[in-house]
Amino acid sequence: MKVFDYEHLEVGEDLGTRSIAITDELIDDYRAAVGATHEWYSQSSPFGRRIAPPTIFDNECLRMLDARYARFGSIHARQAWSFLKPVPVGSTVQVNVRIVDKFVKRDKGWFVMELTATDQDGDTVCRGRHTSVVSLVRKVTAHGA
Amino acid sequence: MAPEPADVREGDKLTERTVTITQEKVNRYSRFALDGRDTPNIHTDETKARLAGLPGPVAHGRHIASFFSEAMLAEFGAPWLTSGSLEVTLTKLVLPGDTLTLRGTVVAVVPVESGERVQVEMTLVNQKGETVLSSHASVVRRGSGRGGT
Repeated sequence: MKVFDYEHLEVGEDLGTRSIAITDELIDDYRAAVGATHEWYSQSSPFGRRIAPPTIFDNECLRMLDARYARFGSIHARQAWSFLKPVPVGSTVQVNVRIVDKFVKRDKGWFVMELTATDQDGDTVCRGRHTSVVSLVRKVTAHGA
Repeated sequence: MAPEPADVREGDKLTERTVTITQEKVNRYSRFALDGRDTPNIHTDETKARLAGLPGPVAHGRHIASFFSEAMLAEFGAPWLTSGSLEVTLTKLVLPGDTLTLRGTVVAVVPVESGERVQVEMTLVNQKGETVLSSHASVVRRGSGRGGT
């Protein structure tokens, strides 16, 4: 695992691509996790089948970061989304995450991850930007994140 | 009563929504984030949270941020899924036991090539009156032809 601090975060690093099958179970788990109750998540929608909540990939930036870095003590500060196409059950979506920026502001380190989700037709279904604050100095801990 | 999307105009208020964040809800999101595991972490475990310098377990920011998207879908329907844009700033911790109120206002309706882009400012305010998250959202309403703000 890579050291997680401002210095070691690599701008431009591709954190990987994950293939996610949008199943009934995944939609139900996410709906329950965030308390999303829109009827299109549980029955047919104007797009035919039931759809996933558009923020369903909100965990992927940190999941992929945590697969590379021994993360501890980051603080989620900003989140941006662009939604372009609904994702019905039965879809398979490729989610890619990259570290696209880091900067120092108000004596804190900030870093930005960009997420792109692409469906089986090659269409981008959403883009996300996750901005977190990270220690400028390496934190040593025996407890983990 | 929420305005119909076709009638929305600058100054309109979104339907106010209230949600209480419980430890059980935070645990449920944590379980989702950890692929079904209940591994103790700063969101679910008092000791882990205090070791990280927190007052206690805290809600996941992305969990709370999702409320803005749900509000926009409820207000604007399908266009949110094809043209929605959301920028969230997380300013304060959300703790189990907090009751959050979501408020939103249409701040502009701007003509664009395919119709009108409706711009909305939203906040989530806790029971102390503190804004914990704020956001700017926009969605394109197609073919209205009314134009202008």
